Amino acid sequence: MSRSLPAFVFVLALVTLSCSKSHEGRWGRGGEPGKLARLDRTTLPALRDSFNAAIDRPRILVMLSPT
Amino acid sequence: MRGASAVAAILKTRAGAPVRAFVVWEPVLWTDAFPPSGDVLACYVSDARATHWWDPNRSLSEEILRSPWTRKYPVRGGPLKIVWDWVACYPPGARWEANFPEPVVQEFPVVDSADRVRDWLGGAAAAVEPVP
Repeated sequence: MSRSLPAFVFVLALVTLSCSKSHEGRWGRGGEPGKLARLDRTTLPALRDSFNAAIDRPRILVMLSPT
Repeated sequence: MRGASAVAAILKTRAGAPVRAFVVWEPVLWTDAFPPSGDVLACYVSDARATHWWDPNRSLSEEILRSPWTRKYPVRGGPLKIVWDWVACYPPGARWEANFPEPVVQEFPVVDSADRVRDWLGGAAAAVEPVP
């Protein structure tokens, strides 16, 4: 068990690094197609503004989980 | 990911329609620790009319459930305080003001809602841009 722990930690670090690399470049400031914008209490107004800015057309809002 | 595929299919069917889609991703299961990768966004809902949001603290769920209209009838995930796998439709003119607006159509799960949303979208989009 004690021998396998460093290997496990190493693999975990690799997986974490791999995940973070694959996520590079996907963040946007909101309203950018193909980019993710972080949403929280402080950025909800950005979503609201984006929603209201498209008032001249139909809109759909979808809530999904990543898995 | 079946819900995301359904959204992509709806938008594809209504290609060119003047519509905006807001796709909000949030953690629900323990496997949802990370937001969707760029590959997932590109593969599933890459339509230029869609914008994506990652809501790690489920702020929008909270905001939706605070709206008075959610007490009129059950909203997906209400008792758990997570509005999830849910699609809401808004016609032109609907505005988000003090409270999150009541949709004219709301459906869940998303994967089973595609036909109804597609039909609604067809009518709503035609009203904006009548076919000559």
